[in-house]
Amino acid sequence: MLLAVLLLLVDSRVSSANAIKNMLLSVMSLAAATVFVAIQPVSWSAVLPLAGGLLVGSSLGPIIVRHLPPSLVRWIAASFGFLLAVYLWLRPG
Amino acid sequence: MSYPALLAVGIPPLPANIANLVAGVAIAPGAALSSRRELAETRSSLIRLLPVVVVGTLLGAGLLLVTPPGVFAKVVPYLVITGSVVLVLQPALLKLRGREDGEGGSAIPMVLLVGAVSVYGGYSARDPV
Repeated sequence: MLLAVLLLLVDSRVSSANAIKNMLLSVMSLAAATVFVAIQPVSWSAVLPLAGGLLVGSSLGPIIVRHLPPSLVRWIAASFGFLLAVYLWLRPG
Repeated sequence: MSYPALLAVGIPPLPANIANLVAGVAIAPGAALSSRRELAETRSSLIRLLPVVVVGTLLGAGLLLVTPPGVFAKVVPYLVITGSVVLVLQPALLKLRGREDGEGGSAIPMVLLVGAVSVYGGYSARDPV
């Protein structure tokens, strides 16, 4: 969603829009995490492996995106979006 | 996509939500380092959007605390699908706008849309794709 907005209005190059998206996403996480960490318990056993995975993935991602055809990147991101939407639809509650 | 992954390994929704948020901070260092080239070129857009995202996210997080659960949940799949459709149609939409480079867009829709996505990000604490 964020990537789609950035591609349309900020920068049409997938690698640039993706770079901006990652930075904005980090800031979003930081802002919201600050709020929730203050008022809710945090399960660090879940945070640590996820953070490790995200760190590795987000380090490699931009390099891969730079070398893939932009249309392929858009289709892959869109496919994950469709899958996520279906999942959120079907998820009970 | 990291939020469904946490649910899949059996972590309940609320702790998963918060863990997803806190861990999301880890995206910054690696992505910043690997994207140095792109970030140097897009610095001005990024700096303009940062305050929008912070305000939007805090607004969304505040909404989550004061609204009954499940209000946004019904809308979220539609938002995600809209994002995916826009991604697929991007070249056509840019042509429609008459700008194939995607730059020089008016600041108002940019701030409004990025702000709206940030509110959603802070509220749902899920990857806004």
